[in-house]
Amino acid sequence: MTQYIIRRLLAVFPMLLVLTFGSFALMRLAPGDPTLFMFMATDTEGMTAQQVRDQMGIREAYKGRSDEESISNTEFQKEKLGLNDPIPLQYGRWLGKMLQGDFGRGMRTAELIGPEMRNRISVTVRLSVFATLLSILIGVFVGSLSAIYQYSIFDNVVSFITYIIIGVPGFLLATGAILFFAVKLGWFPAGGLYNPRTGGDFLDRVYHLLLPILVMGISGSAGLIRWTRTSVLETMRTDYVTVARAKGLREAVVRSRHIFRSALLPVVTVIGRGIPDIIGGSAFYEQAFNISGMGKWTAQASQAKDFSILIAIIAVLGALVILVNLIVDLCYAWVDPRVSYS
Amino acid sequence: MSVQANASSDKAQQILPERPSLAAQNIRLFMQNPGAVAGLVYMVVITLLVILAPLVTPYGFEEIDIRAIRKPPSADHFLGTDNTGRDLYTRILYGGRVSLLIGLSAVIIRTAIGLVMGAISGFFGGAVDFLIQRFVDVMLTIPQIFLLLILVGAYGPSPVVLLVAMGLLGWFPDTRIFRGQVLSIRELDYTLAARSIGRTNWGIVQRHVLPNVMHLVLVNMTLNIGAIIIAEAGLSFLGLGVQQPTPSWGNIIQEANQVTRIRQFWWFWIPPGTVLVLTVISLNLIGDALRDILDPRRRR
Repeated sequence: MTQYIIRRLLAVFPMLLVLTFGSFALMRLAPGDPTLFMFMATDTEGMTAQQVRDQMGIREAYKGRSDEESISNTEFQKEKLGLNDPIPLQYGRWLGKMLQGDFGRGMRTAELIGPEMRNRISVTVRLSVFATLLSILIGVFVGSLSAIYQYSIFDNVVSFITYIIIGVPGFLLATGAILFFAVKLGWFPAGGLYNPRTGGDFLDRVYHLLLPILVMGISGSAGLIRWTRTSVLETMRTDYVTVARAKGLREAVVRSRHIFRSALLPVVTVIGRGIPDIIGGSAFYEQAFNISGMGKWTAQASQAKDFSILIAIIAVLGALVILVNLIVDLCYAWVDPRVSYS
Repeated sequence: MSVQANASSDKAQQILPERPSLAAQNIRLFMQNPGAVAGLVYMVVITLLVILAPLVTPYGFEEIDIRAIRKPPSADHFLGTDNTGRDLYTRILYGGRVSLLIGLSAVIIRTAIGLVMGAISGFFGGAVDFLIQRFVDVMLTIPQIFLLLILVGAYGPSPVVLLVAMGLLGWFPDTRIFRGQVLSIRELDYTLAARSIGRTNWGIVQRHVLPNVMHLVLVNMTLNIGAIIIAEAGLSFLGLGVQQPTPSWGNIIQEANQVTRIRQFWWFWIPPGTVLVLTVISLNLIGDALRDILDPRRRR
């Protein structure tokens, strides 16, 4: 087991390296010199965005002046920020800063990326984690029931509904939910993270996240219901389940010990593999419910062509997913006795 | 040798009762699946309507009727008009052209890349396989929509950029599936037999590997068109899909997406939303049926 953990850990490092180096390369290749903004958080500490813009000579600041002036300033800044050093050295320095949570500044806004990243990622993670937990709860429960009562009315209704939910894009579902539950019935707030008038205490924040989590969780549960149903059905047909029944074990014991235990294992993998999609999908819910998370930020940065923000997002999210996948894999190995560690 | 084979198959036909061809059997199986047939009928109808759009609507998709702005469905505009007085039925049909075309072309690109990469990876193995798969590993960790947003942000949200971006970024999961299939075919006895009579690698890929991956290709393409149509609509929702005035199902729905509009003008978003959802569901029904029919292991 220890060996397996070490091996998985070792496999993660090259992935993180490739991911971060890829992001770094993208940054150096992206149009409009986002590189200028990645090493400058420390020298410009305490400065306002406007001061930074003036000092760095963002294109806009040099509008109307001669090209030469703008270019020479860029060259000077490049030298000062070490952008003429060998690439591996730059990469190492960038990685070091990233690890300390310093992502430089946005190339359009000149705002610090780090603090914003921390806020946004905590929002998206909160949304994704709770929605996923809800999905798992619904998916496993309903999927198992559906399989046990295969071809019953319940099973047919569930299959029908899941089929439709899978076909409905998340944002449409979210819009419908806002319209019905928030606007028409008034049970939930229509959007935002908290009530801006009161500033929002803990309960208020929970209340605001309820509808997004419900919609996102239900939308995500559809796929899981189908997976769980198939998996349970397949397990029910195995020989050892027949043997368990033949031995005269009570049905409840057969189900809990023999069927669910092994049927739910593949579901763990499905959840693990689905993590990038969950985080990606949260972008639509963030947009629909007007929640400032990573997805909405990415859309905004992308519209503004702010590549330094985008690349920081890619690096951070990729690393996050790799680490979560590692945890899922380790959990899987721990739960499933059949995984060989050698 | 071929003469002999023919002779023996003739004999077999004499002994056995005549059986319908595999294609005929598959078509019969497909027809026995009511969901799949409904999906197919819907897709045929919508595709025809979309292709024949200029013939089945009297309006142009950019044509503005100033006297009929935000009008509910009527005899003149039977799905109503939008915020600027354009006929919604017309826009949905022309939008279908864009959405379906993006879906189809992006799927062709991603399947082609996925198939080539999967075949190389599975057939040759070794260092090439390792490199391709590790690259795919890393790319699969980044949520696809974020990569799409970046590419579309960088090159502008035109239909061509969208379909190329979705094609280039979509093949990672596909290549996994194809690789697995190629790997298992490579280990089969007939591949060994082909090798032993001196077939080249390319010959083996052509004669034995590709025909045995084709069912997966077909199923994957069918299911992925729907996913891409949803992705385009999602990008529209985030403001980075096909831009007005060119209609797409995504941006027609997006036009409606303001609380005031969505509350008052149900015809802004219910019809395009329904068309989109039904398309995706139809494609899923067809794809699932194809998978059940074409995958020999799923046959009972």
